[in-house]
Amino acid sequence: MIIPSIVVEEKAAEYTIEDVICPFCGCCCDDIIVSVKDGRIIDVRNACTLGASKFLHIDEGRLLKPKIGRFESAREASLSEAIETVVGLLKDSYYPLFYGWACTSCEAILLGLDLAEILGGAIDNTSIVCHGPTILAGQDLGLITATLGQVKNRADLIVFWGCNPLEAHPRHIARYSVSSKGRFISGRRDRKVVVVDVRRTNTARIADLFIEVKPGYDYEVLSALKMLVRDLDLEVDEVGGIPVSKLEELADMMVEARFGALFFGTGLTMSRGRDKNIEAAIELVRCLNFKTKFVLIPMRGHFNVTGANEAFTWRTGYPVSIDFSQGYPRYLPGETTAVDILRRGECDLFFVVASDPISHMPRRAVEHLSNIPVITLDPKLTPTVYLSDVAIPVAYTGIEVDGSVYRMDTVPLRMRKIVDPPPGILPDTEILRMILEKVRGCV
Amino acid sequence: MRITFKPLTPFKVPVDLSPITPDNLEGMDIGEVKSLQVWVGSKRKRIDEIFLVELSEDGGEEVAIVFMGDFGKARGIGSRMSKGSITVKGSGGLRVGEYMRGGTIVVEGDVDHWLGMAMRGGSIHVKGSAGSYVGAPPKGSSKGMRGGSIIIDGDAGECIGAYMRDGSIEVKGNVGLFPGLRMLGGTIVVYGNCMGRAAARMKDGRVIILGSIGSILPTFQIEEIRPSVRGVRERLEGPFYVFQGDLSEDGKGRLFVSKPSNPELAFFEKLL
Amino acid sequence: MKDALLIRNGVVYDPMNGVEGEVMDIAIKDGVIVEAIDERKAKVIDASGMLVMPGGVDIHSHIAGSKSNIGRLLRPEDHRRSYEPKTALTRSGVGHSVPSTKTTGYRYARMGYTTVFEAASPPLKQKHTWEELNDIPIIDKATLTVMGNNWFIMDFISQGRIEDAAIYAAWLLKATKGYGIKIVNPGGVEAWGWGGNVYDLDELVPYFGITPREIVEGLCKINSMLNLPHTIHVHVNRLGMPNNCWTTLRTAHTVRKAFGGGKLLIHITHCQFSGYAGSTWTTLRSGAEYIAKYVNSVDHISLDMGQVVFTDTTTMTGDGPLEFRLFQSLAGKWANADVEVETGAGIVPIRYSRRSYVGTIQWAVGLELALLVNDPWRIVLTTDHPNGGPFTAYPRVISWLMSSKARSKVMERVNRRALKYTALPSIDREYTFTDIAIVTRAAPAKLLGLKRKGHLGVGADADIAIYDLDPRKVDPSVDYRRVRRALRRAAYTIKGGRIVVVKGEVVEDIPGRSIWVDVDIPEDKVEELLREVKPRFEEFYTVKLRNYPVPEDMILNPSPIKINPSI
Repeated sequence: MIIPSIVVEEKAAEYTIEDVICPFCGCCCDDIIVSVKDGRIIDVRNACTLGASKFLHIDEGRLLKPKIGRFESAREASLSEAIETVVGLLKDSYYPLFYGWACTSCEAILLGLDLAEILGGAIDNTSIVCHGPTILAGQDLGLITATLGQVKNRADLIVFWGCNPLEAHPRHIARYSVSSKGRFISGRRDRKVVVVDVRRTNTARIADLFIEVKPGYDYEVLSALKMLVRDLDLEVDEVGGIPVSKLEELADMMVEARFGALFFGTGLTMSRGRDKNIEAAIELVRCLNFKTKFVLIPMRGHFNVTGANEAFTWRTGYPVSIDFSQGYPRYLPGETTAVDILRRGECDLFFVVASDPISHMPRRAVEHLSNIPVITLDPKLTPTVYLSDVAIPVAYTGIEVDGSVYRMDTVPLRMRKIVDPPPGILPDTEILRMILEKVRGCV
Repeated sequence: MRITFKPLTPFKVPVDLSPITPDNLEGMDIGEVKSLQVWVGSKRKRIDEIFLVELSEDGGEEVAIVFMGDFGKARGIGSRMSKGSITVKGSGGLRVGEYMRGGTIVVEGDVDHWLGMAMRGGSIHVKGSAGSYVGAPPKGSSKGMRGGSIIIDGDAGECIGAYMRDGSIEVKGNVGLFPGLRMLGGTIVVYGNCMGRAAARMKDGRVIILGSIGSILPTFQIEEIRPSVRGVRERLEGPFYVFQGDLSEDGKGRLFVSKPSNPELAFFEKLL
Repeated sequence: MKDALLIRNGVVYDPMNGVEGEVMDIAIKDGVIVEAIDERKAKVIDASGMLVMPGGVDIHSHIAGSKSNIGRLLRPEDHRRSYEPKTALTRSGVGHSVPSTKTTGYRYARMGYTTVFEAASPPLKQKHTWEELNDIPIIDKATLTVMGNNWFIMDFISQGRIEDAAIYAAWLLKATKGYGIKIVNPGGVEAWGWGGNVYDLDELVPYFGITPREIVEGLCKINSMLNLPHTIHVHVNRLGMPNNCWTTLRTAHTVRKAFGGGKLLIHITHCQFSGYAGSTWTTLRSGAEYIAKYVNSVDHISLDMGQVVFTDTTTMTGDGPLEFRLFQSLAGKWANADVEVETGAGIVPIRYSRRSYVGTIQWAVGLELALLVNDPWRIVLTTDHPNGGPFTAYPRVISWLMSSKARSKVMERVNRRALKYTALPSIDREYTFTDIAIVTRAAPAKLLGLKRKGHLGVGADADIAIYDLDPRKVDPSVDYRRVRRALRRAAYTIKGGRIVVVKGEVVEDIPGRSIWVDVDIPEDKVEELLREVKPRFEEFYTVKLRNYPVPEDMILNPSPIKINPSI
């Protein structure tokens, strides 16, 4: 009865797999069709260019063998030597920091949590540079949200605030929001679309209403909207570069919607105010719920950053920035956050899985990495890999190994293995298990 | 008694100094103090493994603790103390004076985030600058500072006095965004400039900005202009624009903004 | 495991097998209770002067899945007040009302509980529920699959296609590895998809042409067509509203009218929250007497308490509109998470205060239900964890049931005016050890149809709790504090024949089993139905049919129960 996972006979040299889940962005589109020949992916259908590109280029720019040594001093090593070296470095550390976890499975993330707990280190995930602010707001206020199907089936008003799905989450428009069809909505014409952004993005071109907000003034605008939705008066004529009459128009659209959905991205989370911007958005949605039905959904970037938050939370109670140094999970933004630990130069080892922090973190944070051992598990050759004292290649989750992931709206999905990884390359779960076993032996 | 702690080597990893308070050290002899254990990263170390400890018998009941050096990686100096004094001759680290109930803390250098977290009483004086969340409750809690006084000679970061209920915070320098966020009472005085969004979602309390603020949230309404306003210990000369808010939270708090420092706010006068 | 274990000389309570305080030995081999073993080859536990019972069975607790995790996210301040450092044998964790996964398993085990049912899981997010359950050590687990607002179920029922509804329900159970049919505010959570609710059993659910009554009756019929081991498990409409006891009674009665008496048809869960009389919050009264009278006069209904404890806790339920109402009155944190096509979720922290009028009524109603219902086999002890309070409060609730004096002590400090509108002060009844063994072990196991749980007969799973309490010497009515203390920390907890807790400390961290129901519907019938349903399924859902079910290999230690349906 359980629906088979592969359409055609596995042993054939050429076959097609349907309903594959794309391991690129938080959309986790699960209708991808992948064709395989002689063990390599040759064709991808239904995916957007970002997703297709990931499937089709997994052979490029890969770390193929474990390496020991930084930059020019790097040399190839056997897996067992690499693991021994890693374990030796971990044993000597007083405060290791484990970071990354967005582009891998929950199974791997749980093993990372195991490792951080045994060694009394700190562990953090990449949401701190993306939707961490959303999570922080969710802790102080609570998120008012829904799965994407609620939007598809019911939403007659869609607001994109500080995000550009046409470019960053291309299939979101057709699959989940603007032109999606559901039980109560037959498509684009049953909906109104509003884009609020600091410039007229490509997504703005498909909107019914575009509102340009002065950069850094989203908090003010959201506050003003909250006043208007509550039928309170504004003294001023303009907020954040927007005439109040325009804001009144938007407030009316929101209140008159039957089901409104607010999608937001780094335009809100990473601009002036950060998590308070999201708090203001939540406050607005709360007020709207007194008058109509309204939800907000974060446009999560990576395909399993949501899963990292979920796994961290069920295991430790906190979604990010955990410190195990005193024997139990402790959490305080600014203290246990990876960026702050690095800024203060407090960790004595940096262990990265499925992320490239050298490219994403502030420079001051990255400077400390010259002073401490850096270990990385990654399929690709990244700047972090080049800097690492030990780097071990791993398989691509969702293409070369199964894994549990969570979509941007927290719907859990099971990604499947499509092809084998290159010879000698193991899943990160295997590498982490090997390290754990050895560490357990010594601790 | 006065007891001095000097790190034997600079700290490389976080050090939790919350057990080293006048309350805990009261009645101990130097041997007991030296054998106290603290977390150094994930390891437990005796105090005398990481500090040179010197006792001077000044007499007097009160315990005076002195930390000498760079404590930027320390956590919880003065945690929960209710009496005595702590002086840090250097930087103080995170959560200095958390849950403090009484006594005094003086930090000659800077402190990091969470100074005076959920403070209830006592006084803290930081001669350098502070990070964000001064006096704020730990993340997820809404029970903010309810007593005591914090003075910062330098600058401070964001969300100082967030969820504050009572007590006072004075910053001689500049502050970042959101001083007095979700405030319920108490007084915040910023002698320098504020990056903006002062007193956001305030329900009650007073925030006084003597420097420039740039803009006022649309959820505040101008009430009057006052020539001066009561600060923490003294009257502060204005004149001040007095705003009431945060109206989106039906707030009855007051935001005082210096008129001379904020000429771009002159248009509010038309609304009076 | 081939371990042989002998529990010698305990004072045994095994009501399922008629044992009420007999001194006897219990023999265990290969994780199962056996007639006898060779003592010389066994490990022996001297249980002289100790109370021995089957391991506790929690019929309804929110421990895992999306809304539990939202609850954890929402309560960092609650985690800071209660944490457990790692030890050589156990993992660390946090949480007073919404504990993290490891801590959840250990705390149940320390209390002598060995089987816990996750109260409500939305099928679309079931993989999340199982991932968390897999991470919870020691206890055996199962989940109840929410169906009461499911579009396909509602459509089939309203179209009169009851057999197809039954096939779909059976498939849902298999796809989710669920144990039973859970109904939460039938029709109301679908209305919440538009921000609304339903307030009456006969109110039409917007756009669906079906009433809550029809949903409940339809699923009740499906439940018996599928021969499921448990009845429908119902969180009734109007939960948490004044004067809702009548809705509870009408819901219970509607299935009796439809299907007759003589067998169990419906389980009303956390009945306390649905047991109020009085038309407004200020005139709230206990409705427990009405409910108990009804339950005593019929034989088709079972309940669990949903007892409130005066503490700071976290409410979480699939009843989205209820949580919005709570937010409106408490004005604190509020999280909401609708699930497309299926259900919703809301999470709001709460503090039950003994000084509060409403809080006192709530506290009284749960106890009244347990004390006024005559048949202990049809009432189960729960707090609807964490809605009424954390499950770690069970020993306190037990002390209230066993001791009128314990209740009086609490009543001295509650809202005295509220007490006048409850029957509690006049109730003298005190639960015996047998009664407790029934409402915390035997009854839930029996109601759930778990043949190898909740008793100590030969063939039962060797899940046993031993408490340092001599029931022959301790009068629980007087010495309730001793009882409470002993039940908090088991002298021994045995799980599947392995000693996992000694003197209230976890000594072995082992994984539990995952129990689910495998309804044997002919493959071709299911495939035919799915072929028909697939286009609409993929029109409504945002996942493909193929990616919806929980893969078999995701379940840790699966322990399916094969069921033969009547279709």
